[in-house]
Amino acid sequence: MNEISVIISRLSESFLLNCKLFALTLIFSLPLGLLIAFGSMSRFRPLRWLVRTFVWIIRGTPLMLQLIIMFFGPGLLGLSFSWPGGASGRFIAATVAFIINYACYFSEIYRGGIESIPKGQYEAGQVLGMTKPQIFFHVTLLQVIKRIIPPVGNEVMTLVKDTSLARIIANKEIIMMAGEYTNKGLIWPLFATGIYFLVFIGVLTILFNWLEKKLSYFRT
Amino acid sequence: MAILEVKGIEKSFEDTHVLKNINFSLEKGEVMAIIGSSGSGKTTLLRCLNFLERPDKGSIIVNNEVIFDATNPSTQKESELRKKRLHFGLVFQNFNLFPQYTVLKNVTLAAELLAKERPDYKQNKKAITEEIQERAKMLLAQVGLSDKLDFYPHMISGGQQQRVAIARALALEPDILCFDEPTSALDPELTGEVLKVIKNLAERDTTMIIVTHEMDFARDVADRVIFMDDGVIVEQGSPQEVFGNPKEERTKQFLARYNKT
Amino acid sequence: MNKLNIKKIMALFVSLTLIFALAACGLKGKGDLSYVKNKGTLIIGYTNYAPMNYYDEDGNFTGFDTELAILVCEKLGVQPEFVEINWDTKEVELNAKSIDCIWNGLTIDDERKATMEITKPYVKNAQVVLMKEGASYTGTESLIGKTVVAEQGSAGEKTILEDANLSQANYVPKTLQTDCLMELKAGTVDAAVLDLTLAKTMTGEGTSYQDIVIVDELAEEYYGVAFRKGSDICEEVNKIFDEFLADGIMEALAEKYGLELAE
Repeated sequence: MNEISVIISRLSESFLLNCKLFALTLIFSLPLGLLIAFGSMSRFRPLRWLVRTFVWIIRGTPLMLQLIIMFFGPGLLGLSFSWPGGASGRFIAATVAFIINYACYFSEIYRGGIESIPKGQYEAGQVLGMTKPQIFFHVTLLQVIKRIIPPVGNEVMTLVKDTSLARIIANKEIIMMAGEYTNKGLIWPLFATGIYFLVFIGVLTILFNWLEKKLSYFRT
Repeated sequence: MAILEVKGIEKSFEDTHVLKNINFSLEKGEVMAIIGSSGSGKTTLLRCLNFLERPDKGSIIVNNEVIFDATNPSTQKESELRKKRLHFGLVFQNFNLFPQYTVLKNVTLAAELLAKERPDYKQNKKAITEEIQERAKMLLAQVGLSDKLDFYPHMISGGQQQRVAIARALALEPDILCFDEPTSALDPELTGEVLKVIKNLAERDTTMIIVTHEMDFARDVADRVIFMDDGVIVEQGSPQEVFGNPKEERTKQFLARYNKT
Repeated sequence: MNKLNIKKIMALFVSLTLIFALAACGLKGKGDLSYVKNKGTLIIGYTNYAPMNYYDEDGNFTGFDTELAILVCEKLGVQPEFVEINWDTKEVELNAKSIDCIWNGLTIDDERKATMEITKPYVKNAQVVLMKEGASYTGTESLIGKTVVAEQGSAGEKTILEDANLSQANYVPKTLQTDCLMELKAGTVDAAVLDLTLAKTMTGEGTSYQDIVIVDELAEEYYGVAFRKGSDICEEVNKIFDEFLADGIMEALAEKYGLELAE
């Protein structure tokens, strides 16, 4: 019994890494995604092209590969920049790669949401003398948020599971921790990790359902 | 004194020359109806007045002030245009109410945002907000929707939504209120309530330009009628003149389609 | 863009990356010893793998490779820094300098020698045939037609499939080496082919598999420590290994962990 409780506490501890990575990624990629979205909708052609190409590359290559390039790239290319040593350097590299990756996915969701708002809404704001920022914040923002809650919820839940990819650059998250035991012949810890993810995503499902409900007082 | 003068307006989209040398003027308190078939340019003309489209040539003068001149770039700056739009109000064919706000808030929103730019806003915030609220309630009463103040747009009928849109446009006290086919998107049973409101406004001497397909209504309410076809004003005059005694062949052909009786 | 253009671009991109990586490889080796001595630490990449690197019941980090590495670093005059890595990307870690060596029961083979600088062999591993004590065994030919197990995809499986006699036995693949031991004990199979190091740790006196014995040694292989290609640390470590062999230090460690030294 003691063995089991030790394993569970180690699994739980390593899951904290998944949670940290999840939180930091969301905090930075949600706003960064908005910036990228504006870039991809810019009227300045070169900027628009640059941003869209960047988004294509990031969404078009596996996150796992991006993690490897992010952490090992500087060392392999002999750059003067190098990640801090130890576990913290690997975690920072993973976080940066995740933030860039998810910001690109969010930017496309934002762009889709913004472009799906009928032109008439903008024009109504315009003829009522509103400035562009006023129209964005007072007219379109809430409508966009309502529309993007389902796809954003999807991405967030995918992120929860993607966090375990960080183990490719040896971040000791929960699945890598379970791997220690499978190597020794004990398999149940690996399957137990599923429960952590299930519970986390269960909570998120409830949260997003609640959000959808809160915005159901109007229909776009 | 003419409240509105439109001179030499031209507008092209890509290869299509949509407005060709449009000239007319409007007196204060007049109601002008614009009729014509689709593609005649009537909607584009209205959108040019509200600066949703920018004319390629021509000028627009309101109350003797040149608010737009295609040859003078300084009249075309976006920051300037914003203020100039306020001379006109626009009621859209598809209402375009803001779905996330109540009926009352739809009417007060723009006025509240504009009020923030007033120099005396900070000191008189409460008074100003109350004033805006009262005016909105008054306008909504005028269009017959006092009992719907806290409703959301999706909860009321099309006709009711359009009436809110009219109140919303009036809230900013525009010099000229424009309507872009206000009843075209409504079920026939609902057009009546909206036309009634517009007629009411006409009786209160509101200056209006109405693009419409409702010939009987135009005949009844308008002081002047303009018939447009293929980007030009073919004929203009009083309703009796244009409807009763059209001079141009194109006008006659157009009216023939509508006059089944 | 048509498909041909994309293919060309991809090919160019991949070859450029490879060129960079290979160039990086070649350049990193020289001056490696001074690089490590300057920073004062040798970063050692490992995975949790008993008996080489693991945590004991009291939570102390120990193992044959762990202890040996600590002793070697003392001689080199640097601090050892153990970093747990992902085995799949160990070569990338080495070349990117996030680790300086792979020291974790690494089997020496020609492919690895071509891309990394590996020390002389220090520990021997073999694939051993295990049977229940008392079972009759005269050589691999005595297992023809009998049931033999090994871990799927392991060196043990390879040995069975390539051996003239064992390939004529009934081979049943198992998910884990430890499953093979269970089957042997239960008597549901006749023999198992497993890693020598695992066999020595998990069978015999004091374990749950007291009556399982090693009856034969096949497919010997050797462990070495891997450094970046061209690294000059390798030679230094070889010298230190020789010293430890002469002093009997290696022998003592091997006994402690139930391993066999390379001849």
